[in-house]
Amino acid sequence: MDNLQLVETTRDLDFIRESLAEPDFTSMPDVKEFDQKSKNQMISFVMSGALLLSMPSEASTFEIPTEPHGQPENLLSFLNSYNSKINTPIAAYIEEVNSISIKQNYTKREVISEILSFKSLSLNWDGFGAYPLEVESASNALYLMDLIGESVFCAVDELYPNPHGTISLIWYNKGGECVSVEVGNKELSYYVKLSSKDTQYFNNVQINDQEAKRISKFIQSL
Amino acid sequence: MFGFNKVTHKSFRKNFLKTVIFQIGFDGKIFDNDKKNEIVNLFKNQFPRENKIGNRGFQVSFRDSQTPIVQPIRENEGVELKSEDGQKILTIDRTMLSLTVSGVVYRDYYSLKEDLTKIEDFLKLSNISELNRIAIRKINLVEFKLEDNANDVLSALINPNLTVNQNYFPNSEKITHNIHSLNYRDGDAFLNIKYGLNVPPNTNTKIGQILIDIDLYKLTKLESSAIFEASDEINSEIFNVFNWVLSNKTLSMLNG
Repeated sequence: MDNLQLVETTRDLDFIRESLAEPDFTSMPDVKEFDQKSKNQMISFVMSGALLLSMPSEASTFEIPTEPHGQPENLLSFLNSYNSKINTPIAAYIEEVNSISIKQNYTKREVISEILSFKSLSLNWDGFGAYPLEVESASNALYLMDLIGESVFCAVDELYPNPHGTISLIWYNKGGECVSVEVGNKELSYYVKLSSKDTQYFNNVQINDQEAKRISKFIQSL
Repeated sequence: MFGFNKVTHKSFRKNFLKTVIFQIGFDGKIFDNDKKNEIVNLFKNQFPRENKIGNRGFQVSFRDSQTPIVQPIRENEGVELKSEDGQKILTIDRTMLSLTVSGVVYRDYYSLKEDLTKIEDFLKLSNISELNRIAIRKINLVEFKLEDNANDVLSALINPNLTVNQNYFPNSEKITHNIHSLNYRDGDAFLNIKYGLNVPPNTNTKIGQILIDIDLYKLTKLESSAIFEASDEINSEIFNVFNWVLSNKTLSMLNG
């Protein structure tokens, strides 16, 4: 108890110090007459004890507002400190765990919706005579998703229709590496651009399990 | 080191590892283009892909209190190299060398050391004779389909002594995060343990994850020749902690 370091914010904390010197809390003369100020002091005492017991060594830097309406600066300081040292790091950690385990920009449903929406585009949708996405191309894109697997496919960063009725899908990372696939009515073509390596082109290949495995491996290497 | 029961080290047949990070720190060195090219050449065989850093700033905020999963580096102040399959990332800057290995390809600690065979050459090349930090962090994630009560899975996989109060939570099937954090310090050695339940948002199928994240680092002056002796000790203690966190059922799954 002698080593406890209290943070003094208001004169009410003097009460806490004095109280700690008293072995029997209930023997204090003003306990029986509980006005609002005493109640706040009691709450401050309990809160300060709980906070000091639960927090790491940086606890002594926290300030405890005893009069929330009277001293807004202390309350803000406390909240900012709490936010930066406890709340935000916890949220950031959860975000970090989610980012290393789930790399997904779209749900499966969203991917299907996007692809079907391209099918609904009208002729000349770009003003230069573009065709809407062909049924076969849309179907092949969805088939490719089945072959590659949702968890890898749905990490796609961009998907968009091309003027000649095909669909493009691009996966990339922050290092400028990418896998770009164009799916057509009968075949697909793709290229893989990895750092320090020549770009690899795969043109007019069949949409099958073997090719899907290769594309999936490239995507996972990004 | 921190009082955990010593367990004879062995390699499990299966693992739940998502990421393993090995990191060393040293006093700031000049990192010009010539130096960068020498380093790239040194590691070219194992890490042939050199990522352009560009103007992307920091990927992950770095704090002394935690080993970052991927060391953030600024443009022209470091180099980021990847293995052919992209599952291993080596980042080097003025004050740090960090190797991040995906759980998909991580076999065991001895294979990690094989990845680091060139590290002594790197230290000689950079005139580094003394380190000021050495760290290993292992993040395990056990994923499961979320059908009933995810919190029950936590109780099954983690040592029951650590989950003894789970029945006290009301509506525990509605819990999305139940993560416990322990931080130890013994002199210049620091241990961060996080374990618990995480239900990630917005996934195609509802999944839950049991997380076991063990980060052990030493902020100490260390002769570069003693690097593997120190990392052996750290890895052994991480293994002790790992066994301590798990239930017997989980340990037998790993041995199965």
